[in-house]
Amino acid sequence: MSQEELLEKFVRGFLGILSLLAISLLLLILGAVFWQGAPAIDWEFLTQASSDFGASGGILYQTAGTLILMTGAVAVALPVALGTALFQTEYLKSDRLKKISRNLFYSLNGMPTILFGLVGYMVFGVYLEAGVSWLTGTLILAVMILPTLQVSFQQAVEALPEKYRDAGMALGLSPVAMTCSIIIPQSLFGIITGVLLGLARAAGETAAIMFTATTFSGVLLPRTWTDPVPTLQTHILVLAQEALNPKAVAQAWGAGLVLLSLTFILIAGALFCRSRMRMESER
Amino acid sequence: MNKISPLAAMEMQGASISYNGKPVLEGLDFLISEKKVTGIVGPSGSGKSTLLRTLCRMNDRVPGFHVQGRIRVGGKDIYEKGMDVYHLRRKVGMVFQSPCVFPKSIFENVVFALKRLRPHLKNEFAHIAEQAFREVFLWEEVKDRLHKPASILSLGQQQRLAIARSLVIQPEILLMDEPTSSLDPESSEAIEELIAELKTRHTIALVTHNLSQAKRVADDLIFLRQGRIWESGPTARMFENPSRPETRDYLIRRTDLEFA
Repeated sequence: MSQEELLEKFVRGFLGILSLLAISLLLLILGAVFWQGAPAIDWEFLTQASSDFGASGGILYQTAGTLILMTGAVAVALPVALGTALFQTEYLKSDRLKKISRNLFYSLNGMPTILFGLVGYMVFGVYLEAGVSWLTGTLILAVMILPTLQVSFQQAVEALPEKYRDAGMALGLSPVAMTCSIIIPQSLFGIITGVLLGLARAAGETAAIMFTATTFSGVLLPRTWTDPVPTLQTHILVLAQEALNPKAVAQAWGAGLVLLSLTFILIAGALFCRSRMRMESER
Repeated sequence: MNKISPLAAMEMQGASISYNGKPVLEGLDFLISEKKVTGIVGPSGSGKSTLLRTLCRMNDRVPGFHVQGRIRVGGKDIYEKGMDVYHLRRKVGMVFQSPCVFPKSIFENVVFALKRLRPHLKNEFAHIAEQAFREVFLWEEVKDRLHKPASILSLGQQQRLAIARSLVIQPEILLMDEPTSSLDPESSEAIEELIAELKTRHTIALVTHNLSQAKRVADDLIFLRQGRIWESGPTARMFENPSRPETRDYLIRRTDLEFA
């Protein structure tokens, strides 16, 4: 065996071990959450309010709170992200400006979420006087997932085969008509993918909403714009800190599994839409 | 000012087309006569498609694309400020090399532009669609499956569907960019027959790399070579008695090769 072949073998083996490590860590986490969380989950757990500071009862209102924040955030971010994406693909002519705004959105996507929480709370919570409330949380999450949505919308629109655009243009469609009857319908699956990824990102977020939108106990469903809500994320965090109370920890694992499943369903949906989109564009 | 010939549907005068400052086509002077088929031929990369797309401003979105000189459609300079480009494209329809149908039903495809541009005619859509299908000799083939997806049609049928889709908004001029190059011989023949029929009502500019096709369907011919119009004139004259040796070389030798 030559030296070169030996090196090839070594590198391949080394990289294989690294990826095996990464995959097994991931599986370990998934397995642990499932193993520990599954016993806590039953019908009552999903449909009852928590009691005894989370040590018993269920997680109905925590789940509701998480869902409210997630959907609210997407409802706010969707029109803004779609508008920005379409402006860049359909109206913006300068390549330089396109590049700048694309880099801006990519960097926003990688910004630490606690910063969104901090700045968002100062703007929405303090300056606009929304306080610690689901509204503040929704708006912060909306800003946070905006780049995720924007980037995937823009990719979806740009992946649109040029022939559709040509055909529409040749029929004398104005940009508005083109957007409504070709661009949006033809990139619909990509847009849904973006929405689902945004939802998943909002579902996984803890830091930014921890002190801006949620309280641990004493609240159920919000009644006014400025009520805080309980969320799964906060619930898990607080219960997990009560390491001496095995009942509370079991509840935390259960809530963790619910949150994980929620995210998993969203991502699976996104993957499904993405494959549909690929099929459409290959037609 | 030059006088505009009343029979010219389209014309260019001293026009040139450049891309990022680099000239693609220069010194363009020609007339495209009304209700005739004008073939545009030339080697690959000679700018045939670019020339065609310039006539309905399809390249407006291309960054760095620039046009100089006079380009008139129906006597109006189409690159002048204030030109309604959407109106222009409704008057000058375009058919592309690979047929593009939308992932919708056959019927929805043909009324696609009507829905946006003439929504008040909604009650007549079915009638207009039937007429357009008949015009492209597609009616008998699709009348029983109008609401099936357009993708079930053969490529040749899809191309005729695309032509019907342009026809429903009643363009005066049709630009065709190698409309048969992705089709089998039988479908190509159907399209050629269709072109002969369409020219009774429309002016047609046809880009083709198939010289025997140009010989069969084009009344006039524009031969592009090295970024300019090398020669142009009536098709018969161009084939029988070209005035420049390169034209003879390209038209006659290539046609012989196609038949060989």
